[in-house]
Amino acid sequence: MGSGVDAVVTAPVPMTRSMREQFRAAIASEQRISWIAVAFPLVLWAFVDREPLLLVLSGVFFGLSLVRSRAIPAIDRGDIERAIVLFTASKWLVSLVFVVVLPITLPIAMVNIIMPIALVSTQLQERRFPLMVASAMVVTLLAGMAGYLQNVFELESKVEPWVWQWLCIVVLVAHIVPLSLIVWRSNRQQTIVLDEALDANARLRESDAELRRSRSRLVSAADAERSRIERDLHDGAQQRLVAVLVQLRLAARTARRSGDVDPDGVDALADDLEAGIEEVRRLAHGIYPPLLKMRGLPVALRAVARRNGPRTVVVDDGIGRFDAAIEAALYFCCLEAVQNATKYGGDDVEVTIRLRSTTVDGRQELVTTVSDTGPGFDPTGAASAGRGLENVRDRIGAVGGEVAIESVIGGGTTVELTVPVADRPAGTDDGTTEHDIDRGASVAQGGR
Amino acid sequence: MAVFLVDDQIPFLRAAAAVIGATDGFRVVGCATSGVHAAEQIIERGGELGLVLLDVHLGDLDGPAVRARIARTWPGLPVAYLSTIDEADLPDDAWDFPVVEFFSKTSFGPETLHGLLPKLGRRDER
Repeated sequence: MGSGVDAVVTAPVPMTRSMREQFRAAIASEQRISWIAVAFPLVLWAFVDREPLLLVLSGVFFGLSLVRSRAIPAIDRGDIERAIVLFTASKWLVSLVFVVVLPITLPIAMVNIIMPIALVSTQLQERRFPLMVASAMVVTLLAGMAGYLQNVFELESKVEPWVWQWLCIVVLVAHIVPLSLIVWRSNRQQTIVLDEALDANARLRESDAELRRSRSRLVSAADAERSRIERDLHDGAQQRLVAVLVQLRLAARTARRSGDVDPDGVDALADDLEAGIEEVRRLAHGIYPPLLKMRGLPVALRAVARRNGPRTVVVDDGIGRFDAAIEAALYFCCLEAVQNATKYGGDDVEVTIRLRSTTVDGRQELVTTVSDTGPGFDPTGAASAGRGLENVRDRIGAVGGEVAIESVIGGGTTVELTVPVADRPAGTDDGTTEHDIDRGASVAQGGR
Repeated sequence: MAVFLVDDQIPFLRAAAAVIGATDGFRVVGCATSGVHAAEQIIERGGELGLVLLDVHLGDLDGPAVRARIARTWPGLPVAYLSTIDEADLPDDAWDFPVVEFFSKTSFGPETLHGLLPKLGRRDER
């Protein structure tokens, strides 16, 4: 898997505005509770024991609360990691100090150590998460060890044990609500984000599919129009002009025999007309080869091979006929590849066009490869531009196919076109003659 | 020589018929504008024909397929293709059965017909 994909997988869940508000609200709530930690030693100092340590403790908690309060502006600035560090560190330090002073608060400390992980874990980079867990483990270890100090400051003995016990129980129970809310909101938020992402993904897929269908329709419509123009040119203007030419030549012959008209003038006229007919013929053939429409891809490509010379070979696995859009896409892309091979490889280049039908995961695919022994090129380099490869990708993409190009400088080029097709060929009732039936696999070489 | 003319383009059919009519020793004895109809006619009348001039692109059954059908009944009947496309663009099965010549329609004239005579052998009497 590439690094780009890794980056996507390990990135934290993006913090939406609502998640940021939730995080901010949780810290603000914790901030309010923290004032209890500030007030509690003061209350003890006032009503239980005038121990100066309690004032120091209150001061420490006050300082930590101030530190924690800096987390909110950090969130507002978008500095989430800083907010996490401030929030977590202050919470853990408060818990540690409490356990040292009052070991009976160890269960509360455990909850407070875990709470930041539950609250902010989704916002951490993957590489930061182990650090946070390790830190939590160390803090837990320290809290546990502090618990064994067993009342080093003897504060616990100055109050009835049941007061401490009930205080701990109430605080623990009180923690259940915010902790549950934090976990619930976090999970709900992630579920919402995930659902939205899935919905967006589904819409994107549908949009992508519609785009493909639209592109396919556009290409099919263009091909149909090209085919119609070719037919109109071939069956209409070209045939009429040919008929006129034949009649003109016949008239020139008659005139030459009778001596009534200057036959050279008529011949010159006929030559001009023939040149015009040739231009129309080439134009029509370039627009859409009639053989492709009449006889399908293998036959049309064999004609291409014959035009290209004896070193061009078509190997047909007996693929039969397919949808006109697919046949046209593959034909024009093969033509592009063959023309490229000849253009860059010269007349001696050997070109092999292979046509085969295969089934992958129950899906039928038409695989066409054009391999040549030309000079090759760097497919990722600037030299690949101008070889019509973008057209090839556009054409094949429009029928839902894929293009793979392998080329080594000095080692030739292979263009592989893979197109998904219907379960069966388009049938032998669409222009394929009875003569094509049972032809099976065949190999044809150009340059008859 | 009795010539059967097959082309789905009426203007060219007329022009070709005019050329054949103006060529000594040749005459049009029948014509068809579709492959299926041509095959039926030729199979029925093959014995009286000396040459079939066959277009390649026809509306239904194309030229090579008509050639194949004719060959089943009249394997020795001379057939020549007449088309506006290049010879290289013919389907490769166009030559599965003997064809005496391929003509470009633009060069079709009395001289091309006369040029065929040596290839037609004894059937030129028909």
